[in-house]
Amino acid sequence: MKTQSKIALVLFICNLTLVLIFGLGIYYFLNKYSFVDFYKRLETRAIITAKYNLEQDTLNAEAFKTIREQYFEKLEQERQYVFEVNATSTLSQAAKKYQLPLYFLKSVLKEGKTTSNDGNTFYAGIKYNLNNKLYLVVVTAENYYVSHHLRVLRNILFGGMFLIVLITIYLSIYFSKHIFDPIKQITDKVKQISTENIHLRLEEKDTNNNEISELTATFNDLLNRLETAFETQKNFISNASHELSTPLTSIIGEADVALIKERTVEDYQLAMQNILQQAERLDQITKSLVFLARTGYKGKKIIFEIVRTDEIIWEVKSLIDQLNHQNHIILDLNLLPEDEKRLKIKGNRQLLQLALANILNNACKHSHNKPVIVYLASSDNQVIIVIKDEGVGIPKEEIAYIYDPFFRASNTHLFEGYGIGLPLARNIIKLHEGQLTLTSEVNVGTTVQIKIPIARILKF
Amino acid sequence: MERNASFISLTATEYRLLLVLIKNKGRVLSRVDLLESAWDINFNMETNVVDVYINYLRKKIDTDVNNKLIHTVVGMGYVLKEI
Repeated sequence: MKTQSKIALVLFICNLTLVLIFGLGIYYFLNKYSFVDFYKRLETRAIITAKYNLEQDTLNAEAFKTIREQYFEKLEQERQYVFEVNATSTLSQAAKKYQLPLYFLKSVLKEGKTTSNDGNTFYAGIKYNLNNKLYLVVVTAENYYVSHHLRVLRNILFGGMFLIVLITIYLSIYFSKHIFDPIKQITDKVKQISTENIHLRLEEKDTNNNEISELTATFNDLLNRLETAFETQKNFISNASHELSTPLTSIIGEADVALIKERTVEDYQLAMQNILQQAERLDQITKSLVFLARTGYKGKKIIFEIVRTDEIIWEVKSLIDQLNHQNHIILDLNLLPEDEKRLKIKGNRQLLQLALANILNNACKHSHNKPVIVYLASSDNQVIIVIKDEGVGIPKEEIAYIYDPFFRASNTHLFEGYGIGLPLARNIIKLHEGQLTLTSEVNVGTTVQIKIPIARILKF
Repeated sequence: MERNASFISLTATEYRLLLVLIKNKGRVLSRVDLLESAWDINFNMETNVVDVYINYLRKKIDTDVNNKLIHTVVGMGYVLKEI
């Protein structure tokens, strides 16, 4: 069952129950009251009748007659009986004669006064003692109130209830529809959005901060993230396939050319060397990719130990010195802390070396081995490493993509590389709960700032 | 590293620095001397690096002992004295 119809049904049932309780209550209490009221009236009449018929005092009798005729309207089917009860005329005789229920007369005799009803015919009777004679006075009439007024009331109530039910059904359906209208709209809109038109967004009505607009905002936020992830994935695939196919094409081409005709040993050696070179490049790319994938997902087991950041920088520097003799890395350790504990972080030595080597290599490479300054300092809770180069920089509009794997800025085609180093470094720093921020200006240089929390250790 | 039968762990840099000091024990070494021999650095680098690492080294090997090994020679450099 749809939520919409469920809400409509619940609303309808609730309303119907309330109206039924209300109507039945009115009917029940009025009915009860009409009984009590009518009995009272009949009783009064019985007393008056007794006085009028049995009082010896003529004056009094006249007065009661006047009251009766002037002030009491005639009840429907009103009959009055006054009879004496003695040995000769028993109750059963009277009951037969006046068509009164015997049990009623008996109870009048017993209780003094009693009321009763038989369907719509109501009885009220009193015992009256006069001059040592016992009289029973019975007034009977049809309760026009029940027979007429209550019937009218019942009709009105039934009519009203029917009307209310109709209105309730209409309102329930209308409201449930109206409430779910915006949600239905959102559903329809979201259905239209697919991978082809993921740039589409839901219309955000800035009327008020209700649940619907919140839902819309949430959906849009989700779509934003989806779109970004989607774009990244797309770029990654196209870049990766390009990067991987280039060395493969060279290998195939080289081998193809070498096999066209018989060649000298030197030619073969040259071809093999070229093939080896390209294969090594391919190997490096795939290795970096594996590293990137490994650091991209948390949960893989990486062993963390306490390491000194200055040591890592020294190690990375000597590593780069071996690979690139022209590098011009300057370590500025003026800001080293007094306490060596403030250089200690919890980390994985190999990964940190890899990250820093990538960043330093980038800095040296893109600045044609101009000086690269590395600052190392520490605040109260973070080790800060700043790597500053005087290289080509990154164009402003491309900064957003620098962490996409295989992305290379437009001004880097003169440099070798395949765009894995920086995202890898960033992933590694993230693994260490650190931050990597990058600022850059074209033809001025790039500054990379790394902050990693200091290890919390008490004794070592 | 061991001193007075207590274990001391040094980083590679600290170890190299200590090694140079031990090899030249009794001789006063200038900051530039130390920089060149311990770091093999032949271009300009702030010599306070030496001070920082001497400080780290001192904290590790010369605290809680009466006879200090590393001594500062004002205006000249550092020297490792024999006990």
